[in-house]
Amino acid sequence: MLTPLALTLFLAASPSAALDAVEKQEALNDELEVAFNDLCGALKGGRRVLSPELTAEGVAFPLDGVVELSACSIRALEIGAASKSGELPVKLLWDLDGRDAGGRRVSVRGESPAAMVKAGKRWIVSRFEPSGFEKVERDAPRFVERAEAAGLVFPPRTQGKRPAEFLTGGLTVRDLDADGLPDVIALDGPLAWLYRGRPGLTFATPELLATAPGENVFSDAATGDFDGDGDPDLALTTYRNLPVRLFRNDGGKLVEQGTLSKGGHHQSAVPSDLDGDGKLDLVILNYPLVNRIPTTYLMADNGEVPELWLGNGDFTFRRLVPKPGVLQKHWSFAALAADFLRDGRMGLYVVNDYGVKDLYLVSKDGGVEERAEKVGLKDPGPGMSADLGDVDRDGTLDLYVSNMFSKAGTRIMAHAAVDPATRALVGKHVRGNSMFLAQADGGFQEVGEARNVNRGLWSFGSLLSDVDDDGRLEVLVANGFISAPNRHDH
Amino acid sequence: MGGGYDPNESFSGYEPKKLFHETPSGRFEETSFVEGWDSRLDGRSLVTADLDGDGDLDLVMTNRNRPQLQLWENVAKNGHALELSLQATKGHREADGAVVLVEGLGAFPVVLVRGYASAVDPAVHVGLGERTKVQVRVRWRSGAEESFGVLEAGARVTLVEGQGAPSRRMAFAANRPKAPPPWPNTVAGLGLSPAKGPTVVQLFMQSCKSCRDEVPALAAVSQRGVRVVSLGLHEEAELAEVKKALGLAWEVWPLTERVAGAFEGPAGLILPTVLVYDSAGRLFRVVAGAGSVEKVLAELEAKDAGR
Repeated sequence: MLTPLALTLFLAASPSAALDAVEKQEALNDELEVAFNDLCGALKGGRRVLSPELTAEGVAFPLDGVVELSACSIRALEIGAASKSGELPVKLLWDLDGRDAGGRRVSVRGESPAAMVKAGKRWIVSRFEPSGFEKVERDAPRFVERAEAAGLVFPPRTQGKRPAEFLTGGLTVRDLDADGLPDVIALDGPLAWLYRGRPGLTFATPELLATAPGENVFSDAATGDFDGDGDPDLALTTYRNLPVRLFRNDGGKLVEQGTLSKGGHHQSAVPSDLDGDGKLDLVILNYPLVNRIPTTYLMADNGEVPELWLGNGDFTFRRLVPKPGVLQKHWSFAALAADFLRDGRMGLYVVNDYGVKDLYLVSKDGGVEERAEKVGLKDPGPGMSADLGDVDRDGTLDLYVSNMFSKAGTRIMAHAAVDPATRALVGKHVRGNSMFLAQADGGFQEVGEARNVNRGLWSFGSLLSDVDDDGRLEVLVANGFISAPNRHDH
Repeated sequence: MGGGYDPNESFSGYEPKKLFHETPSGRFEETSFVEGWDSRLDGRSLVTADLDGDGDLDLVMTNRNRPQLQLWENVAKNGHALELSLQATKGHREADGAVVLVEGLGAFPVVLVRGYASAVDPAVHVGLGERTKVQVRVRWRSGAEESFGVLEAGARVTLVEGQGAPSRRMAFAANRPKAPPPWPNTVAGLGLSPAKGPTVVQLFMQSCKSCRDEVPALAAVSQRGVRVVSLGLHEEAELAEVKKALGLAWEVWPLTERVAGAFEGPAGLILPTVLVYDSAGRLFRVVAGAGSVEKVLAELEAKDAGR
C-alpha cells in the first residue's frame, strides 16, 4: 500500500510524475516488510542464527552479548533495481534495543547496505553490511516512569473523545502556589486539570480548572505574570472559535479574569514581552485544520496570521496590527520568543506545518518585520515545535525544530523520477528535524543531518535540555501520530 | 496533516521517543531506550523540569492515547548542576528574553514556553559536569550585561537585576540514585538450585493462551533431558492445581515480583517469556513469545560443542 503521507507530498510536488513506478516499488516494499517483520520476530524470539529461512548463511546482526531483544525495527530506506541474478540492493535502517547478560541496556542501530533475494515465495536477506553501526549501552536506566505512583493521572472522563483531540497538547509545569514545589496543569480534551505538587514527587488530587463546551477542547495552558504582581497567571486557549480564558493567580488560587480574542483555530499560545514595555503580551497561533485543507502540502498560504496581543498589565490587551503583508497566513502550530539576532528586538519564531517558518522581529515602537529567509531559518517542512539552547556552547542561542522524518518518503524520493527542485523540496520535507547553529554574522546554519538529530520521526514537542548534567545539551523528541490496532506503519 | 484518518489504522504510530546525546565528535547518538525513556505512546507536549528539587531534570509528557500523562523520575547519578531563577527590575519581572551566560558552557535562554504547547518555569537549568563552580553573567532584556560572580553548584539561586550577587540560594535536596531491580543473570539468581545441563525457565500464567500453547514444545525439551522450570504468576497455593491443569510435568514455582519486575517493559510483563540458561547457569537468551525455544537451545548446544 502506498503510504498516504509520502504519496501526498509526492503528488503535491510533482502531479505529473510517473506514479506507476512508485506504486510498484511500494508494493515490493510491502513484501520486503513481511521478511523484515519475520526477522525481527526471530531475533526477539532469542535466535541469532537465522539461516536458511530468513537470511543467507553468514548474515548476522551485531548483537554479541545481547541476550534479550525487546524492540526491533528493520525498514528499507532505499530499494534499488534488481540485478540479473534477481538480487535486490537495499539500504536498511535498523534499530535494535535489548539487554546483555548483566541486565545492561543496549541499543544497536545503523543504516546499512544490504540485498534481498527471493527464495521460493519469500524474500530473504542475502547480504548485510553493518559497518559503522552505532552501539550505546548504560548500566541502568536514567529515567523511571512513575506517573501513577505520583498521582499524575487523569480522572475518569465521561465525555467521549472530541475530533480535535488527536493534535492537541497543553501542559504547564510550574510552581503556581509559591510553595517551592512544581505544579502541573494538563489538558484532557475539554477538561483543564491542576495538580498541585506535594513533597516526595507526588501530586494532590487534581482540581478541575475549567470545562470547554460542546465539541471544543482546550489546546494550551500558557503561564506568565500578566499583571506583574510576582506570580504566574494562566491563559487557556480553546480549539475553536472561543476566546482565550484568562486566570489571575490570587495567592496560588487561579481565579477567572476575563477573556482575550474573539477566538479562532487557537492551537497554542506564547506569553512574552514582545515590545519590551515591561508588560507581558500574548501571541496566539492558529491552525485551521477542521474546516480547511492546505492549498499545497509543501507551501500552504491559506492558514491564519498569528494574533499578537500587547498586554496592558491588567488582563486587558490591545491587538498589534503590523503593516499589511508582514504577518503570514501560515498553518501555525507553535512558536518561541527570544532575542534571536541579539539586537535587542524580541524575535518570534513561528513554526508552521505544510511550509516554511516565520521569524517576526518586534521593535519597541511596535514595528514588526519578517526575517526568516534572510537569516536562514525558513526551514521548509511539516513544522510542529521548536526549542532554544546553546548546542555548541559558543554563547549564542541555537535552535532545534520539529518536523517529520518519513522512512517511506525517504524511500520514495531515493529513486523517484522527478526534477532536482522537486527532489530537494520533498526531500527536505521528509528529512525530519532541523538543528540551526547561530553564526557570528547573525545567520544560522542547519546541521540536523550532519549531527544525526534529524530522525525524530513524526515529531511534536522537542526540547534541548541537559538531562545528565554533563554540560552538553541533549535533544528530546515526543513523537508518534496515531497508534491504532492495525500497526502497519504508514 | 489533513483530516480523514481511520482510527483503526496506525499512521506513524508506536514511534520510539528520541533522546539524542552528543558524543565527543559533535555527532549525536540515540539513547532513549538505554536511558529508560522508552515510551511508544503518541507524545504531544513535553517538559523537562526538576520536579523533586534534587537538581536534575525529570520528564513530563502528554500523549494522545492512554496513559495520557507520563512522568519519568531522573534516578541516575548526574553531573553537578545549578538552577538560576532570574528577576528583572527594569522590564518584565520574569526576565523573558534575558540570557544567562555561563563561562565555558554558553548561553541559556529565559523563556516562558518551549516545545509544543508547553509552559515552563523560566528558571534556567545549567548542567556543569565535573565543575563545582562557575562564572555567571546575565544579559538582561535591555542588552545590559551584569556579572553575578562565581556561583557554586548544587542549588537553586535567585539573581535579581542590579544586585550583582545572588539574592537567595536554596540547596538541592539530596539526590539518591536508585538501582534498577536485580536482573536474574544466573539460575541461582532466580532462587533455583543449579543443574547439570542447560535450564529452560518459562514465565507464565494459566490464563495466557500462548503460554499454554508452549507446553508441548517445553514437554519435548523436558523429555530429552533438559531441565525445565515454570514460574507462574499465581499464589503458591494454586500452583499444584495449575500444574495439573496445564500438564506441566516439571518443577513449578511461583513467579516472584522481583523476577517479574526485571522483565517488565513499558507495557508490563509480556507472557510467555522463556529464559534459557547455559550449563554453567548463566543467562544465555531471553525468548519473547512462543516457538523458538528449540532453536535457541540448538544455538546453545552448537556453542557448547564449538568450545
